[in-house]
Amino acid sequence: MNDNERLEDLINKGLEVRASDGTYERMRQIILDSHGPPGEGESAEMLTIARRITMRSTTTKCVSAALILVAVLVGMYILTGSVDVTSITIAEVKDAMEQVNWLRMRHTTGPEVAWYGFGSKIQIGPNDGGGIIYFDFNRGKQQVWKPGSEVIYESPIDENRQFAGGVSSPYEAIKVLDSLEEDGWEVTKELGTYDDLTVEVWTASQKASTTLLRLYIDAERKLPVALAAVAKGSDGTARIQKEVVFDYPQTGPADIYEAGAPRSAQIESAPEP
Amino acid sequence: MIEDELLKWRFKRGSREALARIYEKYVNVLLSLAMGLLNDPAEAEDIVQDVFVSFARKAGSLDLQGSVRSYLAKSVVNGVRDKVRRERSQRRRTEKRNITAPAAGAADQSLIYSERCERLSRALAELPSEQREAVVLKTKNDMTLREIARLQGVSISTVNGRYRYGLDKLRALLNGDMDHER
Repeated sequence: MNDNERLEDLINKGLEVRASDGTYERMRQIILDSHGPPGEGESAEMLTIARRITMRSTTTKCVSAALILVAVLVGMYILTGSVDVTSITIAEVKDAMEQVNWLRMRHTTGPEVAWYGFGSKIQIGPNDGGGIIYFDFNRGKQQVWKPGSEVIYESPIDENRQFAGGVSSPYEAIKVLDSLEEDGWEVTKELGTYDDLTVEVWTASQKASTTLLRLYIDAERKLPVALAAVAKGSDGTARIQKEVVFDYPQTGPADIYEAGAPRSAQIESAPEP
Repeated sequence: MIEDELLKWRFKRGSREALARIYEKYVNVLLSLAMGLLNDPAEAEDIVQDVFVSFARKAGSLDLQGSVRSYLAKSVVNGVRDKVRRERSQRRRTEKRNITAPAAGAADQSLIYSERCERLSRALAELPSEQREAVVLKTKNDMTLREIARLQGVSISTVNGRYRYGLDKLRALLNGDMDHER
């Protein structure tokens, strides 16, 4: 580490301020009390459909699994007006998703990997600076490991946090929903390949937009395998801006150690703030 | 971040939970940023609260193109600039009237920070504001030189210069701490 890097590190680690419990709560209340009304851009139709799917899903054993792609699917539904014109239907994808036990997501452009265990209600994700955060929603506990540390801090999960981000967990598919606010989007569907896999590619595009959205669905398993935002160049070239890859392992990490924390690290209760 | 895209979307559609999570996620980041820019914990707290209140009120109408974190950080920077401008003008007025401005209050117990943080914050306060902004935004908020240049309305090479000069001066001011870190 040279002098500049050492100084940057010193500032980054040293300039840490946090609100005391009292201040945190007081500010939180003031801020939540200031919250404005819902945006007018929200689509009533979309919400109705999302609610319908959500309610239906609560009777299944993998509630959240079905919700992972609700936003994408609802978005596609509204954009196309119909889901039955292609060989793969939303219902088929939804059914396939309900059988999923573990979902792993990663960005192709970065090291971020996130795990969702739908049966076990385990969620694992990257933490600041390459660390790991492990949520066990059944136990109501979270564990945090930071790189280089020999301690894993355990604390209760914040009451505002929900497994898989709550009801609508579309991840990068949020872009699809954003596009609902714009007119003139079209969706095309065609067979293609993704990493040598035969897939159906659903592409949402708009004349005025320089971004395409592509959802790749495994033609055989009916499971989404990737979602990409693609920038269109004026010369007709296409460049992937963001891409998230989904896969569905049989099992996931049993604990934070299997998720990558060193075995030598000891689990301790997080110090009181 | 993936979660941020989701939060942004839900927040824009009126989700109170999303706002609560954004607050939980970024309040301390923004307090640290404001402290680095101001060296005044009480003012840092006020500015961060104002930024969040304004953010919360705009839920439905917010035109949020970039990341939530970046938007909030820029709002803090603007809040700090406004405050400095107001203070400058206030100082001019009080000087004209030959009245002594009140001394800054003692460290606010409602925020928690280490002695090292206090030393860093004091040293940062010695830098010209443009250099301080460049150093704090790059090191604490992971902003690129391009983003800072856009925020400051100058070229990237100017920001790079401000950043380097800022680090050099800071290194001289913090010499003891740097040695300690070795």
